[in-house]
Order: sequence, then C-alpha cells, then structure tokens
Amino acid sequence: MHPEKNVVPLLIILFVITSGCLSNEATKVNLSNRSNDFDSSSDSESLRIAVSAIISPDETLIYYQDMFDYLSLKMGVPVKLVQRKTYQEVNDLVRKNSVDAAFVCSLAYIDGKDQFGMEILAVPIVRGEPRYYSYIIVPDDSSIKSLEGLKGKTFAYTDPLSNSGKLSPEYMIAQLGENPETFFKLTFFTYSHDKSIQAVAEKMVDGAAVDSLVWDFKNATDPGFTSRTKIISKSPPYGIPPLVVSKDIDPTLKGKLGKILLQMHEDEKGIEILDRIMIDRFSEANDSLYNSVREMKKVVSDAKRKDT
Amino acid sequence: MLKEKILKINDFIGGGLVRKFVIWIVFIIMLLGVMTTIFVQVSLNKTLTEELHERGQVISRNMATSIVESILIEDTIYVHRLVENTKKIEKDVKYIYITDARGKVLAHTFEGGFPVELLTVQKYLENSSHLLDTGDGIVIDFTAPILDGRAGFVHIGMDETSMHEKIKQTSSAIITITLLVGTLGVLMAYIAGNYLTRPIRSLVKGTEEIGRGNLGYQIKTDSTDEINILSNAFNKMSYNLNTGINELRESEERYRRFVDSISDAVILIDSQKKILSWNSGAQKIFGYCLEEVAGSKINILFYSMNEADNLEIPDGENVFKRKDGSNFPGLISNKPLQDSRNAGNVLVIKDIKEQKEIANLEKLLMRSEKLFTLGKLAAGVAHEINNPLTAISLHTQIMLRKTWDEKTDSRLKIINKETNRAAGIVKRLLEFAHQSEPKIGSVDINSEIDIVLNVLEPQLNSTKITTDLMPLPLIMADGEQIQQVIMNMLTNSIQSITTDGEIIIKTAAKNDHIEISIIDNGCGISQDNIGRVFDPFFTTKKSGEGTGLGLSICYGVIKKHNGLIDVKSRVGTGTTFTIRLPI
Repeated sequence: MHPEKNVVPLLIILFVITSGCLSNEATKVNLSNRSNDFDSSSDSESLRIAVSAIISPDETLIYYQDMFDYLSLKMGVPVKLVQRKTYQEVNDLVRKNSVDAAFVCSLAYIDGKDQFGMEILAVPIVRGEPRYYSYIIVPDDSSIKSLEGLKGKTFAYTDPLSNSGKLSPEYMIAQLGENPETFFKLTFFTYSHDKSIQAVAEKMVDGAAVDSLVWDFKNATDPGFTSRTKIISKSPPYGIPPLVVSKDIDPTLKGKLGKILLQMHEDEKGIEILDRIMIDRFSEANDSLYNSVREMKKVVSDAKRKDT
Repeated sequence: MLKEKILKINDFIGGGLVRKFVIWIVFIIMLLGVMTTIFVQVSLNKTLTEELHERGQVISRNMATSIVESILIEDTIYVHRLVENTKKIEKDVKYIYITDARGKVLAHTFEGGFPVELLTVQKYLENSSHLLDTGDGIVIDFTAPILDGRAGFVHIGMDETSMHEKIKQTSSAIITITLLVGTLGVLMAYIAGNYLTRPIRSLVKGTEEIGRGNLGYQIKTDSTDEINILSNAFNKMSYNLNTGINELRESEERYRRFVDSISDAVILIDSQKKILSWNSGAQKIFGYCLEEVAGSKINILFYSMNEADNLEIPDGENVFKRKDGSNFPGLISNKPLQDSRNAGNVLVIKDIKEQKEIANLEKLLMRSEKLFTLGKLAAGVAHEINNPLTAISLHTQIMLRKTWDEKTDSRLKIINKETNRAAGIVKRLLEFAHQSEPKIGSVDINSEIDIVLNVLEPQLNSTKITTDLMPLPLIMADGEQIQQVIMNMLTNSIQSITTDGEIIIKTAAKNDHIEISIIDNGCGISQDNIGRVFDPFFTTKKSGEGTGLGLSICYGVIKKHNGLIDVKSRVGTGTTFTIRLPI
C-alpha cells in the first residue's frame, strides 16, 4: 500500500493549475537610480516655432507635423512645435524670443507689431490670395438666418486676439449698431476654431464665428462637425494669419527660414505637404495687408468705448 | 478499481468504523478546502488581474485623451496636477509618468526623482502592458499613446501587491474556515460515528454471542432506522437459529437414540471406507470406542481383511474381529448413504454368534432327546434280542461240537459267526444306549493316540498317517473311552479315503483346553449331511458296512467329558474333526 501514489496526480493537477498564474515573466527594473535632470534639455539646439491655437492643439500637431518635419530637414536642426492655449501667450513667446518664429492670427500680429515690433516672415497663399474670411455659423437645422437672429443667443468666440473669431463678428455687430458686449446673452472663448465648430454642431451654443480657412479645410477633410453647421454670414476678406518672427531674430536664421518657406512649393515634397494642408505656397507680404483689420479693431473698440 | 483503492485505503487506515468515518470526513473536508482554496485563488487571481488590467488600460487611455492638449500647450502644471490627482484617486496606482514623443519625461509621480532605468526598460517593451519587477513587488506597466504617440505616452504602473494581499486574505480566510470546519467535522464525525456505530457494536456483540454458542441472544435497540430493521432481523435470525438448532439437536438426539437403540452395529463410512461414526451397538459389539476407530479403515473390523485391502464389502455373512482379537460371525448389509453421490455407506452388522450358538444348542438338545429315546429303544431291543441271540449262540456251539457233517458244520459256523456279529451290534447298541459313565483318571492324550495308531496300523493299507503332537498336559478323562473315540474317528477317516490318502493328527494345548484335530483328504461330507454326522444310525455307507453309531458314540463320550466335537468338511477336499477337551 503506497498512499503517496494517490498524492502524485493531485500534485500534478495543482502544479498545472497554479503554474498558469506564474508563467508571465516580469522584467526586472531597478527604481533606486533617480534623476531630476529632465527639464531644460537639449531644446536649445533646436528651432522653436510656435503655432497659435487657430485649431485645437492636437489638430494643430497633426496639421503642421509634416511641414515641421520638412523644415527640420531643410534647416538641418530639429524644429520644435510650440503651442499655447491662447494667442496672447504665443505673442508673449515671440516677444520674449522664446520662439524663433510663430504662426499667429492676423489680429495677434497687429497687436504684436504694435507692442514689440513683430515682423512678418511669410504668409500662406490660399486659393491664389493671402486672404481669408470669418464665417458666422449656426447649427445645420437652426432657424437663424442672419447675425441679427443671433441676438440674445449664446455665442462662441475663439480667442480674444482672434480676428475671424472675435474681432470680425464684433465688427459686424457694431455695424448693426449694437454693442458687441451686450448683443449676445452669453459668450464663450473656445480658444480654437475647430472647437467652435464642434460647439455649434453639438448645439452647445447657438452660433459662432470661425476662420474660413479652418472651416473649409475641415469641411474638405473631415466634415463630421462642419456638415452639421451652416454658414449664415461671411465677412469681407482679411489679411491671412502670417508667420511672424521677433524683430530681434538672427537675420541669417530669418533669411534661411524665409527662403525655405518661400521655395517650399518648388520641390516635390514641399508641394505634397502644402497640398495636404490646402496652401498654395508661402509668399512675402506687406504689413498693409492687415489694414482692414486695424480698421475693424478701431471701429470695435470705439463701439465698445461708446457704450461704456 | 476505485472500490479496490478505497478498500486499500480503509485497510491502511485500520481501526474501527469511527476512526474510518472521522478520517474520511476530515480527508473530504480538507480536500474540499484545498480545492476551494485553489479554485478561489486561481479565479480570484484571474478576475483581479483582469480587473487591474482593465483599470490600468482605462486610466491610461483616459489620461492620454484628457492630457493631450495640456501637453501640446506645455501646460506642465496641469499635467503634473492631473498625474498627481489620478495617482491619489485611483487605487493600486504605483506610479504615473508621461513622456513626450521622443521619450522625454514630462511629468511623473516618483518622489525624489525619476528612476532612469524605467526608460531604458521601456525601450525594449512594445506591448501596451507588461510586468515589471521593481524589487518591491510586481508592477503592471501600462502604456497609452497620446495622439497616437505623436504627443507622447502615458505610463501607469499598477501595483499587484494589494491584489495579492486580497487573494492572500481570502485564501487564509478559506483555510481558516476549512480548518475550523475540519475540527468541527472531526468532533461531529466522532460523535456521529459513535452514535451510528453503537447499534453496530451491539450487533457485533450479538454475533459474538451467537458465535460463542449463545443462540437466541437478543439485541436491545431504541433506534427507528435501518439499524432497527437490521437489529430486528438479527433478533429474528437469532431466535430462529436457536429454535432451529434446538429442533435439530432434538432431532439429532432422537436419531442418535434411535440408532443407538439398535443392538446391531450401524457404521457410517466414507467413500474411502474409513469409519466416520457408529452407534453404541457397534461399540458394544466390537469393543472399540468411536474415538479409537474414527478415521480408520473398516478393514480392522473384518477377520479376513488386511489393513491395505480395498475389497468391496459384500452383503451377507462374514467373520468379524473384535478389539480383543476374538472373532464372531455376523450378517452385514451395506447400503450407500445417498444414491447418486459417493457420499459413503452405512454398514449394519448383526452379531449372529449367539444366534448360531442357540441354534447349535437347540440342535444339541434335539439330538440329546433323540439319543435318549433311541437309547431307550435300543436298550429295549438289544435286551430283547440279546437273550435269543445268547440262546442261538449257545445252541449253535453245542451243535458244532456234536456235528461231524461237514456241510452242517460249515452252516453252523456261519450261524455262529452271524450270531456273534449280531451280538456285537447288540453290544454296541447297548453301549450307545447305556453310555456307561467314564472311569476318570489322568490321561496323556498323545500316548492314547499312539496306542490307537498301533492297533490300527495293520488296517492302514496305503493310507499315510502323520502326527503333529504337541506336548500336552495330563487331563482328567477315561482313557479307554478316549481311545475308542479316536479309533472311531480314524476309522471313519480311513474309510472316507479311496486312494493315496493322508491323515494328519494334531494336538495342541490351548488356554483352558486341549485340541485334537484329525484332518483327512478324503471324499468329504456334503453340506446337507454335515449336520447329521453325529446322529445315531446316520451313515452314508452301504447297508451292512456300518451301523451309523460310531460318531454318535464319540459325540456322547466327548459330551460326557464336557468337551466339544466339531466337524468341518468340503466335498472332494477332506474333512477336519476337532475335539476340545477341558484341562
């Protein structure tokens, strides 16, 4: 009589059952070696270009990724995309020379030019001209047919320094003889045009003013939200948001960067990238391109001042 | 198979039912406990691991989604806060760290700096989750890409420790419960076993009592279950057994008495003819106790059989041997015990010695009476004839003296001769009738035989007589009469022999008597006649050659001497006369 004979199969079963739990090998890692030396890394070597949140940061990243890679290749240094929540913050970066260049809104450019001598490096040419519009949009099924209809409704602005998303609608309201600050029941800042489109599409607000470049691009590439909105008003053309540099920028760098941009449409890869983001090419531009914006800014501030 | 194993295990356990009961219960409880523990551990491990994975993935993905913008706009404060808050809120999160697309750490929850090695490890691992052994417990590291990795990665380390702690707690709880239940089980099994086996024990006692012969033993039971049924059945069985055995005993006793009451020997033998049993009649007849002969072959009871003989036992008359060596005639009947099977035989042996002796006595009595009557008659006839014969003889002799005529003389001589012969017959008749009392004196039988042989010698012709005479003590007898007897017998034998005859005379001294045997190889006596040879006037000889009185007279003489005379004969082989005379 060997009772242990009966125990053996039991042990085998036990082993089979339990071994399943132990089969995943853990990778050994030693956590004792600590370091705080991560911030202020090797960024100094790279070129920093800021992009204002005309579209939301994640969209921006996707939108500009290829172009930045292209620039990086051409410049021979890594080009870092720097984003901030507001246009003002980007302006501040330019002012403090924290970035070498920046895509800013037309109104932000005027502010920057006025405040610290921000300079235009290049402007995108879209559909043959360096211009864009402000669209007033409402939900697809909204009964509102004009800007007047939005009175007393909720409205989404983009950014305090946005031309198409803030200044232009305010200007249009002022044109109507209304005070832009009291025209709507409630206003929000979404800090990017795609978010404004989404807010209207999902009826979080009754209306919004958006950049025509963003709406058209979205409508062409990803009409999920734009298809649920409709344009009820289109502004006159404004000078397109430019690529700016600080006035203190190294002229060589400025020249090199400007040259790359202006010649981008001349090589195959550049064309491919530009095509994808629906830009014909980059061009030099004159500050006078933004005079209409300067005009509007004056009118609107006058209108606001008048009421207060 | 399983049954054999269980039986083997039961053998191994040994001991009583209670012990087996307790050990089995404990074994089953422990087995169940172990199985439950294993099952719970395995399933809990699986469930908790899955849950941990799910949570890790959900947290990391959620964080990757919600943190994307803050990362892009470099809102490090927000990122730090989110990371810290998430670690604080979510359970089992050991660490969180966020890297940008190039692997630079943007934020982390490690106090006192980021462990650099994590990054190097990260490079080799491609899966969204993997196990890391931090030396302080196993951590599952989850990686969620931010904006498909373009903006960076969220890494969350989920700690398995609390999960294992939970499993450990549950397992130890189950083990504790199992042990508790096991202990309780032992106690309950012991009590229950004792309670359940009490009636079984009383049943065991009952069977032991019955085994000891205490038939009819009754078990007391107060239960109402199957045990009660069993007890009742046992009691009934016990009662029936008792009754049955008693009846059987009575019946057996009755049959024993019945068989013992038979005066004949009733013997039971097996197929090997060995004695199995017998009745008291057999014991009385043969003188053996049953114990002495039980197992012995039946042959020892037969006079003419050796131990090794394996002869069939024939029905009918046979000679048997007693313990003391004496033998006796008996009638045997041999019947098989059962018809079909060779289960042995029943022998019934009837001792017919007494019967035979009685028959002999009766014969003797008859013969005596006959002789007495004949004697009287003969005496009367002889007396009546003797007188005329005397006159005839006297006158014939007178006439012979006075007659010269030759013819007359010869005729007278014939008359005289025949008269003398007649006178001799008459004399013999008178001798037979009167059987004169023997004149007792001390006699040496051997010398008497010699005398007779001397007298007889001239008549012996071609017949040879051999003597084998043993030294004999002197006996009190009438020598003349004994001579006459031997003479008669020898004459008889000689006459029975036709050619080349031989007669042997043997004497021998036995315990209380002497024996004289006269053996011849003559024509013998037929079975019909042998009972009558001692009758007076019985003769097989031609008329005129014998009177038929010789052996009668011998018989009478020996009788007077309180002896015995016996004859054995077979036709064509010879005859043996045996005379026994008391010392």
